[in-house]
Amino acid sequence: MNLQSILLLAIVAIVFLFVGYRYVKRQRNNPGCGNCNCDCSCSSTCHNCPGC
Amino acid sequence: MKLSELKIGQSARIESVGGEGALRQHLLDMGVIPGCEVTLIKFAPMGDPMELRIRGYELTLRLAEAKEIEVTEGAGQSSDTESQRIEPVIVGQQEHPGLGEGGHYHEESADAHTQPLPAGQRITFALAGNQNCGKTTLFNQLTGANQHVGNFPGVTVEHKYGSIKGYPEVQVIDLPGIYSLSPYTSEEVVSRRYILDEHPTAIINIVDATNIERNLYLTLQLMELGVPMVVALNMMDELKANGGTVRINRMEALLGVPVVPISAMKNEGVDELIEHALHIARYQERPLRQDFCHPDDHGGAVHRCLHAIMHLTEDHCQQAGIPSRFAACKLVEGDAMVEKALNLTQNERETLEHILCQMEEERGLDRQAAIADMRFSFIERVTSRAVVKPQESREHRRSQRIDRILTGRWTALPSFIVIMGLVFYLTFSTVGVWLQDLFQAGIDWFTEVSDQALTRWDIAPTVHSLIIDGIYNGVGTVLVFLPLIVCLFFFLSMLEDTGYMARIAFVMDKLLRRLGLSGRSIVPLLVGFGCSVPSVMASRTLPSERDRRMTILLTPFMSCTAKIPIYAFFAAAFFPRYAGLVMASLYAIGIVVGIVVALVLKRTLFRGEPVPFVMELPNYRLPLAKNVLRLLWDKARDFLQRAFTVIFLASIVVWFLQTFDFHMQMVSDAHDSMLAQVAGLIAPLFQPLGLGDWRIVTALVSGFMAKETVVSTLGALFGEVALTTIFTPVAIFALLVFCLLYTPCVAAIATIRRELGGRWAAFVVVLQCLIAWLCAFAVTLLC
Repeated sequence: MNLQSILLLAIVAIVFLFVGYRYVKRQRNNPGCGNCNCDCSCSSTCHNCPGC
Repeated sequence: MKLSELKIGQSARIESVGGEGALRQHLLDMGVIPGCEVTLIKFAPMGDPMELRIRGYELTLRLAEAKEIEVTEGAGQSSDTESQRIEPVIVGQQEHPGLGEGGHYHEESADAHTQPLPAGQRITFALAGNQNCGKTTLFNQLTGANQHVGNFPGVTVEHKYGSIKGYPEVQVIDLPGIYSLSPYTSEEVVSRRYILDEHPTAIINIVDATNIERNLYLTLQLMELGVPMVVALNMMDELKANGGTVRINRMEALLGVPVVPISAMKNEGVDELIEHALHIARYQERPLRQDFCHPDDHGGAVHRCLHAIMHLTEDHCQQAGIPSRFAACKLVEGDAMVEKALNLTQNERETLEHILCQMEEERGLDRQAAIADMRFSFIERVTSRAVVKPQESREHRRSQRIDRILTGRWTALPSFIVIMGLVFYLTFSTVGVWLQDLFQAGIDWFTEVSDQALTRWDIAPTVHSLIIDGIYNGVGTVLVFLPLIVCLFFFLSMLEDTGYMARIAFVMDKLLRRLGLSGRSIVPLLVGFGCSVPSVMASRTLPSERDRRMTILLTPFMSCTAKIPIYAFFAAAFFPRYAGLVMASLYAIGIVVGIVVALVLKRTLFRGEPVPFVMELPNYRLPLAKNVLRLLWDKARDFLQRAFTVIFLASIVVWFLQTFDFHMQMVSDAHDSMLAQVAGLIAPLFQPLGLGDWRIVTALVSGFMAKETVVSTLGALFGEVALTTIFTPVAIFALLVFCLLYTPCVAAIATIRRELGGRWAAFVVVLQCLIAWLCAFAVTLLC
């Protein structure tokens, strides 16, 4: 595997881990739809969450 | 005679309100009290419910409830003149009370002025008001938030928080709309509990100036709580445009709280409202008046009764932390929650009962009606002195004209069918599809450019495959459906914002009652065509737990927009000439199966009658372009975020599992992959449906995360292979029926769990999967 392939794979892996971490964290904080980007721990779904 | 016997256009005076419990209290709170004039406007197309005009607004009521109300035909007077003649005590300077203004203080003692709340202390305002009076519009203006505003009673179903622009330490809570502090629906319980238990620093009570009498009913109850409060008279622009006005200073002097005229939609008067609200909050200026009974009103029976109870229960009120005036009124109304909180002794309870019996005898009305009458009498005294009533508003005249067709006896159902047909036609056949093609071309171009770039840079085949087959194919196949989804949400929001959704509830009530539901259930069910999550949330507007549960259980049968990619994908591949017909039939199957399930539930788990249909019909309004665009942006953003989070993650995971085996070796044939081996274990279950392929099973399992991933997973698993060579059209139609009916996505299940609990959520998952399998099997047998 050449350098540019390793770099690209590393980028995908980092993005995957970052998005995955945020997704799991949000699901834990907010049991609603879990799609929004907010990290608040309010009980609203993302449609009503003030942080979204 | 009974109210149900009135003829269209006939007016009558209410003599007595029968019935019992929470519904009767709700009717009284809505202003249906003895002595009040009521006019029958029309019956719903199926003859039930009826639309009435009372106290200047439209109310719907079923015939069964109307039979409980005795009326006298043709009474001309709308109010009790004896009560109106009583001159209310002025509690502030009439010229310019200046309540809530800098330099003016409610109390003259020096302590009140010199000891405001410490600077920097967090201030919390509860935004309380009737349903559909513009609370959320004001909340958005105050905080700069983007909450959805509808023209349907009960759009806000749980409280939302936000800080006032420029005042980060000041928080506003937008509460669901309530008509009184007697809890009737679960959203009213939410609001009441917040105001009583969370102790907000002050209350901003938003009052619809075009329907002031009914709105002030809640104002009086809020004032009884003794919490600092400011009244925001909303929609003043509309009132003035129709020739009405409010003498603000006089109303302020009569009520004893600051009154600020505003137009939340036009952002007029909002700055002044903030100033007044901050002043009364910082100096903790409580309402100057909390006593609305009068010693001369009908011999003073209610006045003596309330004051006697206040003396009787004063010590208990102090211990429970409940304002004694509020507690006294609630004890008269028979509020079980307050009664329990006060913990009265046997002796006190007996004394209370004696006082109440004496009052009923002297007043000639039962206890609940007497209290409602006392409040409305006070309101009439205030409005007769401070409000110049408008002529019939342009908005109302326009609504009446539109309603002649949209809720007319012969035109209502055809109009409903035409409107809904138009919504789906425009979404799936013209506008939506045109936008989708445009989007598809863009994504195809981008994929091609990326593919060429990766080849040029000599990227390793595994990484190349991950980017193009995994990520681009997965996310891209879902992304093209964004225009369809935004289109459907646009039309659904137009139905809601214009006020038509409330009419659908009115028109469909009788039909839904046969299924064991109330007309109000139609709103969550229609929202379900958009997304199940807000749909389940919207069920909170239903006043009974039985109706709410049943509506939530039926929501998954309304095909949500997330399933559109699945239908469109297969319809285009297998039924290109009949794609529209296939889509329509899937929606129809969902509704028919939902009806069958509703009938079964009605006879098994949910025996009994749905609750009464008491609802306000708002005027038709043209939605603000800003609101519509905001909603569309929110929906598009939701979808894009979903595409770039859960679908992105799922695409990579699926690609990984289908590219490697358990020894972490790259496989040349996907049949040897980890995914194939695991999915192969469940695949036999789908064999009778003609769908025993492990790739189909994998796609269906991934759909539990988000329905759109079914398509992205199939795209990644089948790649360039033509599906038409593997599956028959019948098997694919069975698959579509299965996708239509099987378990809702994890977000919808989480919401159901939150609303009904874990057991019901698990029940929904099992029930939906079972029904989906049976229906798909029926398709394979029949076709």
